[in-house]
Amino acid sequence: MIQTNETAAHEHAHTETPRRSFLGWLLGLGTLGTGAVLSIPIVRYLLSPLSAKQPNLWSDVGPMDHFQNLTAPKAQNITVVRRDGWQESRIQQMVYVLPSAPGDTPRVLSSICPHLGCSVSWSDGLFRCPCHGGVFSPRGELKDGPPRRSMDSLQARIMQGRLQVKFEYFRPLLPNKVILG
Amino acid sequence: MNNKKQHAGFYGWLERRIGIDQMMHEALDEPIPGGARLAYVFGSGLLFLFLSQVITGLALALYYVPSTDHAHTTVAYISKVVAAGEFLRSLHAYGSSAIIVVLLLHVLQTVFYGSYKGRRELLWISGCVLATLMFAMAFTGYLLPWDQKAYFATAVGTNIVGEVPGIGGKLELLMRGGPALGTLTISRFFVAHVLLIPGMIFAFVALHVFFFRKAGAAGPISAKPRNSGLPTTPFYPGQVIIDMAFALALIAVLSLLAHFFPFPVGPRANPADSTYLPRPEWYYIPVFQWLKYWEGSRAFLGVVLIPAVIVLLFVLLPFLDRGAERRPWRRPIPVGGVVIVLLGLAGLGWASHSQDTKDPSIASQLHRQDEAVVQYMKQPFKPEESGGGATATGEAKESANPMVQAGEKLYQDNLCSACHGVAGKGGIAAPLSGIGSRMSSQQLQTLLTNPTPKMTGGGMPPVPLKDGQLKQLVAYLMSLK
Repeated sequence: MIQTNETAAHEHAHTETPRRSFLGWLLGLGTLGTGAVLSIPIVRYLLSPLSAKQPNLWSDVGPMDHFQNLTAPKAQNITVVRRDGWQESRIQQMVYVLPSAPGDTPRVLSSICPHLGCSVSWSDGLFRCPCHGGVFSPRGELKDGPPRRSMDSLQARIMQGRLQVKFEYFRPLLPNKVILG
Repeated sequence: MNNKKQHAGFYGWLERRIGIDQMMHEALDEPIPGGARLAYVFGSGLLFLFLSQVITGLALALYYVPSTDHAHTTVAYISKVVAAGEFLRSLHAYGSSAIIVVLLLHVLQTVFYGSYKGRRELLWISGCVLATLMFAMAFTGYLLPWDQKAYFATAVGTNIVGEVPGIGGKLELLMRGGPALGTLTISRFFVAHVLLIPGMIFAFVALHVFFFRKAGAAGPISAKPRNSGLPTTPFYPGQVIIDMAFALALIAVLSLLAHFFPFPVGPRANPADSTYLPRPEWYYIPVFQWLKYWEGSRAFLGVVLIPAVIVLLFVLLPFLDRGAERRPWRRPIPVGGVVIVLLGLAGLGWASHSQDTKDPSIASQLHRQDEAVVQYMKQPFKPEESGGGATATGEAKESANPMVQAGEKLYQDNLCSACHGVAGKGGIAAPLSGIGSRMSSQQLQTLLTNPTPKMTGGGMPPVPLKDGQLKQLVAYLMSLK
């Protein structure tokens, strides 16, 4: 392999082309293969938001025995936890737990008025919105006023004797329930 | 090449526009006097490690936030939550040590081979600049995780800068961005570590390679510094294969280390911890130990003069050792000098280590610190409570006043937050923060029971609370900032 000078190296290299290019292919493939293996952790890292476990979106409402023998909707404060990467925020929200048959999962309504987002309150046997006079039945159905839909129900479940709810925001003013963001 | 071959197809199309053949010739046919050798791998090894640091560093920058509030959480998040995050961060952390090791080997090879001779002064000096930049990278990167180790090592490191007579105090203030380590220090170190120094490294690598190609490879120790007259082989394939094998070995060792001994994040920096014993990373320990011996009036000699003279002699080596002789045993003074300095540094490192292990109180404290890191790594990731207006925490909890706390509950239970926002930050209706500075509690109470027409028009009902509860609500509202 050792040549006497540079020019000779080039001349020789030319005649040696097949061998040199085969080696080149071999090295190229090896480099590509090694690079592919090395890029596995990088790709996993970059794609990690795709495989990230969804944080627990269920909020605790309270033990089920508090909602067993309701005669009227019960207002309940819940804490909604939002995960944003390495940050977490806690937001206080209010929901209404409706009376239910024993053994059933109660219906849970968001207290946010589907009209313009004021908080609906329970008084004199009806849900009333203090801002613009929306009125809803004890089951949350629209009875009167400017709202275009009934009160929004939330997904609820019972886990180990406690009522949990998946709190979500819905777009106001629309005739049907559309999740916001 | 004179006998230019006409390429066909897409390769030919590219070749006529880029000149790939010429570029490949420039890159790969560099003549190496005496042929390829294992001893020549360290330069390309360093370049490879630097590129690995750039790639892993980019990955880390995807999550890292340079501020005392978030730095530690984001690094813990990378290590504990993000897929392959711990592995990539470990590669980056071990990579910095690997760079120092290979840098040392590269310098030793150059000194033993006398390959700074023969119009290679600028090549040598650009290398000295690169070495300094690499140490600066290691120093600035060390602070960024903002754990105990990072904080205290950097506190000591910047204090050492403060020891420099005359300008030391100002220099330390400038480095830290203030009298104490804090958010300004992190920003400074971050900008230096991620933008400034890497940019300089790219520039000096280009210069270093340019000077190297201009002077040519020096070849074995028996060769003359210039025009060796030895037969040459091209860089490709012999040296390329050896260099690639070395790079593969480096990344294999680093990957195994990163996989089996992941580099940990320690507990968050706690400047109030007076028991913490700072220890820098291993490559700074000899300097750390050296500084222990120089106190008071002799400090100038030990901290400034001696290191300055050693560094100056080292940088000027190609000007001082000028003969054509390259064999190390015929150049006892420069080679011996470098060996003595290195042995001295190793001795200082050993002295530091033996002092730490012999003193039982130090040894047990260092053990406690290591144990704290292990324990911290075992805990699951704890997300940070987000600031800003979205949370009811923070401000509201500031007060332990039971009136205010009861009032906060009333505020929530009566859905005031629906319009006025959580913690009175504002929503559909006006924010209530700072209302205490605009009116007295008596005025506020009157407004709540008898809202003005403007308020009722906006949807604000009279507050139907009894006097006791009303006072609690007012107390809460007055506390809003």
